[in-house]
Amino acid sequence: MIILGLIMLEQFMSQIKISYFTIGLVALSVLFGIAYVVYQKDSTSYTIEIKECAELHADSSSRINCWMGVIRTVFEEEGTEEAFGVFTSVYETYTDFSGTGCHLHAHRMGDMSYYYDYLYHQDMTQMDFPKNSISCGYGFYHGFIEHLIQDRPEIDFVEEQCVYLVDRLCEIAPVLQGVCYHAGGHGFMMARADELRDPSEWTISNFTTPPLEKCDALETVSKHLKHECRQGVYNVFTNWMEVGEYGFTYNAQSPYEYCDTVENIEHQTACYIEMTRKIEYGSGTDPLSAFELIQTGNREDMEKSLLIIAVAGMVMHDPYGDQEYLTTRCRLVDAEKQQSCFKSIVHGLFEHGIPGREYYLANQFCSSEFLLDVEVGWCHQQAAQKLNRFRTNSEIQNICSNGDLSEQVCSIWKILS
Amino acid sequence: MKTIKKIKKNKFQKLFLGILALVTLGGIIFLNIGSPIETEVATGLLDKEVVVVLTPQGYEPSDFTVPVGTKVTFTSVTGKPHWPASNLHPTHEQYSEFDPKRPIEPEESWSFVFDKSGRWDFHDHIRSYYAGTIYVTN
Repeated sequence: MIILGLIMLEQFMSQIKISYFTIGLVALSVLFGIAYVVYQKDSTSYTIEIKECAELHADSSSRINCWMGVIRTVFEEEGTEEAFGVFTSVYETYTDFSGTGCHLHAHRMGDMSYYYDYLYHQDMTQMDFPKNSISCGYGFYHGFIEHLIQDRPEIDFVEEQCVYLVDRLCEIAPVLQGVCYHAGGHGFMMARADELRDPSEWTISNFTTPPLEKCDALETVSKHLKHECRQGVYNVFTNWMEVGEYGFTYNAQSPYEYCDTVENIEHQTACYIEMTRKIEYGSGTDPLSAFELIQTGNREDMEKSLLIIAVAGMVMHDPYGDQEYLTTRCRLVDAEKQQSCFKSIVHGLFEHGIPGREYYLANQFCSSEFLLDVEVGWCHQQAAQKLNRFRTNSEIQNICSNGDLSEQVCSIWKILS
Repeated sequence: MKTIKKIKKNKFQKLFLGILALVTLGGIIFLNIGSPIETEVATGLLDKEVVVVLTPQGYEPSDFTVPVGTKVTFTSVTGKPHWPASNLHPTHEQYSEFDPKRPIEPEESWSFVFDKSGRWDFHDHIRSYYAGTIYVTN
């Protein structure tokens, strides 16, 4: 057949006088086309690589490193949206990815975006921000914006970039404004680290005061956004404490020791909030122990909000963890704080929930058999309140009409909105 | 008639060989383009010392292969402190010794001898968007 085809082809070619070189080129092009279609990387091939990461590496750290390597390759070769597709797939398949703080992994996606997209284009209008980029508590934006500001730590620049991003992404990232200023605080703090070269100057105050002053000096923003910025500053500081950077360590038994020395009340508030995010080092995943540690501080006025942060943090670190245990321990805290403690579980499930389906784990939790009737009501209420953090009104309407969310949650959401 | 047939046969052979050669060449190029890991054997291999420079564009070289026992020296021309360290960021537990545990001044360098074989992904701890991979072979 092939020989016959070649004879016919040759006769045809000799009639129209096309050279053998041209025939070769055409044949080559066709073969390349076929090879490209056949071998082009698709999600299936990445699925194999992702699976290999899990099979070849025994420890969680190596597996995560391997998965992040695959995601980096996809990011570099195919772009942000495709990389988030792989990120979501890994999250949904492997609990040691979702259960090791997916916010931190999303941060790394922000690093990649800054490097491969922003530094390349030097223009945010050229960049791609897909819907799933808000996954895992907007970690992508924390990572991206912190580097943007780290490399240009100017007050005006932060305001300008946040206005642009919020305006452009209002349809996909409903609470980006707060996140942007929080990440701006990260950037101010990290830029400060470039300035303090002499280890004898490495005091907490030397590191935090100038960045906090920048947050205070943000001119065009609300009190709330300045507060987000200050939290961003202390967030970086507590991250440093966590890994012993610049000689700082987190005091697990007395977490507010330093905060109590901060005189400025706004700064102290931000310090308390960020120290509480690491409270698990002292309390483990026990809301009751966390509350006892919170009470060692001097901010009685903040106890309830700090408990919310502490418990939500426990859930965020492992959204597939033991929520029944958390629930039973929340029942043991002061009666007036029980509701807040419980609602924090729902908050945490939303915050680090499945990318694109952040409501899913919370919805599932609300139908748990171990919940008391009153807790089911709180659960629905909190889930309804959190929906708008990740979804627009039209998206929520679709989710409700598809039956993906419980009727009770949808009914409360309609009343609230 | 015989001559015409011979000419035709020769033409077919040429055509066939031409296509075969091009396909082989194309295949080689395609496989090289599609290679999952782009790596280079670092220069200075014989000296068992490699210098990696952090530039505003990233590490140069960023992906390379060295034998066990090679000393890799990290320097920077960014004018800012740098901190090369093993993944994961920020804990560096993949190869915990591969971490100066402090920022390195812009004009200062830091060296590390790789005595464990394997694939070692690394990054700049201060600007974690800069990353690379060192393949250490036995």
